Amino acid sequence: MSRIFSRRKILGAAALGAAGMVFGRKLLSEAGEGISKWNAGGVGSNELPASTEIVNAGKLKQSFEELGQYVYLTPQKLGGGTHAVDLNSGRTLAWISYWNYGDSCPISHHLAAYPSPDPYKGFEFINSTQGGDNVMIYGLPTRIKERGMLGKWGMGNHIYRVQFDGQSMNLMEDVAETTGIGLGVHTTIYPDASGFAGADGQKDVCAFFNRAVGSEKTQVQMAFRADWIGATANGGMEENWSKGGKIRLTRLNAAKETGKYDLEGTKGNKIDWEMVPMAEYLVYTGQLPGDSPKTLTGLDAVVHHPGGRYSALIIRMLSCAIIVDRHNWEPVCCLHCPEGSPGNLPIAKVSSGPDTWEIKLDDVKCVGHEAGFSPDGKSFLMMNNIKQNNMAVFDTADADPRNWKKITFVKDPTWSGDYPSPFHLCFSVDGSKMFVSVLYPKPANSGCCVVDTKTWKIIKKFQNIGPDCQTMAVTYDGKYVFQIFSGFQRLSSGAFIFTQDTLEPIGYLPNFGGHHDCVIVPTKAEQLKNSRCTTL
Amino acid sequence: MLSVISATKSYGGERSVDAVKNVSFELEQGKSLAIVGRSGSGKSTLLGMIGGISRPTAGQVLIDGINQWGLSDNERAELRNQKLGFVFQFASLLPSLRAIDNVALPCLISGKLSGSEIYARARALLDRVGLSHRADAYPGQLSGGEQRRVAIARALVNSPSLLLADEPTADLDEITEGEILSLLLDIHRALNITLVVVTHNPEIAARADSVIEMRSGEAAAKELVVKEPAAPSNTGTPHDASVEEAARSIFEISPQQASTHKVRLGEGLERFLGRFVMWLVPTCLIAWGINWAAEKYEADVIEAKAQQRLALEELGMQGLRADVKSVEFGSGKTYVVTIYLRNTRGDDPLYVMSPTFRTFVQVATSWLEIPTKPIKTGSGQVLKITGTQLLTYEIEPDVPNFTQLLPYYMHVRFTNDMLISPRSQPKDDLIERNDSYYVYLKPHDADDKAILSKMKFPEKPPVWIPMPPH
Repeated sequence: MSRIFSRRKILGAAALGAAGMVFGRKLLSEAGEGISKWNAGGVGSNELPASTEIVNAGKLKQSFEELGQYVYLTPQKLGGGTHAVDLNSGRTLAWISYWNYGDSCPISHHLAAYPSPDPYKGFEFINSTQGGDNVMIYGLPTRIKERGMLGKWGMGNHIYRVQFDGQSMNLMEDVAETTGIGLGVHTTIYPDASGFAGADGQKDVCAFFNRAVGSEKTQVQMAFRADWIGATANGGMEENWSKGGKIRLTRLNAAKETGKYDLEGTKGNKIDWEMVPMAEYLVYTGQLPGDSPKTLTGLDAVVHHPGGRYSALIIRMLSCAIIVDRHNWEPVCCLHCPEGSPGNLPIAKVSSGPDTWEIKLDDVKCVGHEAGFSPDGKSFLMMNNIKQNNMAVFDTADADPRNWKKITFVKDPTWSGDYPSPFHLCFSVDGSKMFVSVLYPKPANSGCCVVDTKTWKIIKKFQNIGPDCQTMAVTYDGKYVFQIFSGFQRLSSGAFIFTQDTLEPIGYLPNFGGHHDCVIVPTKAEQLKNSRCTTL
Repeated sequence: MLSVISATKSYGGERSVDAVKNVSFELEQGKSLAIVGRSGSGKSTLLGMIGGISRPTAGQVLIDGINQWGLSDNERAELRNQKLGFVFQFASLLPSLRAIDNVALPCLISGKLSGSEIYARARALLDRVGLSHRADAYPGQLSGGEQRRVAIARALVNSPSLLLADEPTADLDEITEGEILSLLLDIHRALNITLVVVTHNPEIAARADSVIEMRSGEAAAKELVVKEPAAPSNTGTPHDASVEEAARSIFEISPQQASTHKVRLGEGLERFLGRFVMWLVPTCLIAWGINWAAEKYEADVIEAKAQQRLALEELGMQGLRADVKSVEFGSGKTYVVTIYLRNTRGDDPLYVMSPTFRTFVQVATSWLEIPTKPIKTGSGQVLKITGTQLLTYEIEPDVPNFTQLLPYYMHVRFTNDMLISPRSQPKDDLIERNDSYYVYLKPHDADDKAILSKMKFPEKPPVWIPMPPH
């Protein structure tokens, strides 16, 4: 371990932090204020508790043990398909490759699975894919474009609905083709499993869909597009965002003639390829081509409050989340995450034809990324990245999102500069812990950490897991946590496993390379609170 | 006591050969008889018939009036065990038993006495033959003379009335032969044992009470030659008190004496096993300890190496960040590429040995290397990285047929191979890191308008488009 990361230094710093915290508590207590008010100032200590344990996962050997009767679903990204693995035996139950269905550039990106009483007998999942120029940002000396494979059938942004029938996977529907809305990034199932949401940060579009079963066709319930109107639109690229401006949220409508939207394939793209982590820099410097990068908000994902009514539209370029009421499909408020920014911004409706709302941001202190709600719905967290490297914590216990408050930040003394940065998150089944992947640039190995959800302090770190740690998943019996790493599409990949309760490392689960997301198929809707529904 | 009547021993069938022919004599209790003669004269055969080893072809051998060849095998074995003692040409001791065990063995087989009594008797006999100090020695540790003494003691342990000795001093040197002979005769006289000794040594015969000379199987002298006692001290009769005392001191062991010699059958084996275990246990412990220490040392070394390797990996991968900082147009068709090396470890320096920076341009599905020239790199030196250090290179990608993944742009790969160490003069604390950075480069002669007709940028098409480290 390098000296900067030595246990002694970290523990020493943590001890100082803990002492400072105790001293601070005492002062505030004497002033008649509680810890909640102290945190309400928006400042979380970046020191680790003295008891924080650090594990070097690189010391572990490859291993596999019976992990329970669960089906583990992983999209391959550049591999072009998805695998379903039986965690009880280590066998792959079935897999699908979208090349075989005429998709000439399927980048199997993110997915979410509907609950099934017996996933071994069948389940359905929603799998977004990218395509188009996204294949050209990984350093592949490819001729795919030269050979015309990125044309009509290789643009990506498909939303595949796939059924596992107990034996094989069957492509049931391309929701993008059915509805005319092609979205290539995050997909999240509603907490009651009655539908799903998808989003795409290249288009700044998110959409909500009902749940189709079998041969039924999916229908759009609602779709929004977000646009950024910089206060200094004629200034430099970075100032276009940093100096503030307005988010304009517009309700999208299907064409009356076709009943469909006109957002298939690359249509609607503001930038030519996705903002992988840190690619916001390329937007700032004008090095990312596209039709309209200056209006980019980076509406990349939707996560759902487990209460079932509200959803959060995750806006990366501005590090905020627009809360939408799914009962009336009206935006309610906007949670602004950077430290030093107001936490809850109002939304004003400015037009009804089409419905349009605006949110004014005085400044944008940093970009954001992944986000999620705790299983009990009382907390919302979102990553602040690049200029700030922390996680904003909102108290979302109030029934009215307009009263949701930013209370503190999860910090780490090593989260400085652009890397390492907190990335994806999920929660233990009992909600007592939050698990966060921590991204390092290649060729370094990434890791993950465990946060106590009472104190929002990091209590354990698993370092040196593998390159490019992505999403995380938990088994619903409360036993295991899966941290998938996809190796920047071409380096080593796998899934690191540790226990939810004792936080003991178990080992690695092999995968077939490049898996970018991981979901454990729920067996009942209740488990969606810990699945690809509430968190990313 | 001993009567030999016309004893004959023949071998073979019709052409039989008489090894012993018609020999007769009598010997009283306590007397000694020497059977002499040349080799092959029938001495040992005659002795064998007396000792019950060889059945006479004709005639009888009576011991205390009992014709042993009229007894059953068991009865004859019992008779031999109780009344006869043998001293053979060679000591014939069991090599795995101690001297005292060899002496005690015939008595232990008879089972007439307790173990303690037998061993007390054996010790007394060893004392009598002058070997009390060698009781625990094994035959291999005894000289030839000592072995004969043990054999004599063994022959006496069952308190025989008749002691048969077949050339008991064979293969011994002259002095030892004399000592053994004297011992035999002394015991014979002291214990009033009838002694028959076969010898070819005339000196032995000269010291016996009577002599029979065998010639071709026949006793040359039909009558015993009775001689005068050799010394006045040995003239005691069987009823002499000193003789009785001598015999009693050996063969009548008091309970006290027996209790002082508490020995059991197998005691020697137990002692041997005990000693074996005493050696085996510490030997095994030492061997186990050495093995454990070696194993632990190896494990510690392996663990230390693994830890060092992990620390180096962390140092190389996370302690140092490197990427392309900028690419600018240079003169002619060249570009100036600046990369940065940033130490994330605070004040602890990092040492990077000779970064090897190379450039490749995609042509079809291959990477074509192009000239790369260091400008400000300190190339060939060891770079001490404390904060952020910039390295600058000039590249000249004159590749007409490059692949255009983005319209008009070259797809370029930079590789940066570094050896990284926490020390300026590393030994084994060195790790190699191989980075690849991918960018799109706008050719010098590319027309921005043409580019913008194919792609949209918010501003002028950039000279380079980096790919994030993802």
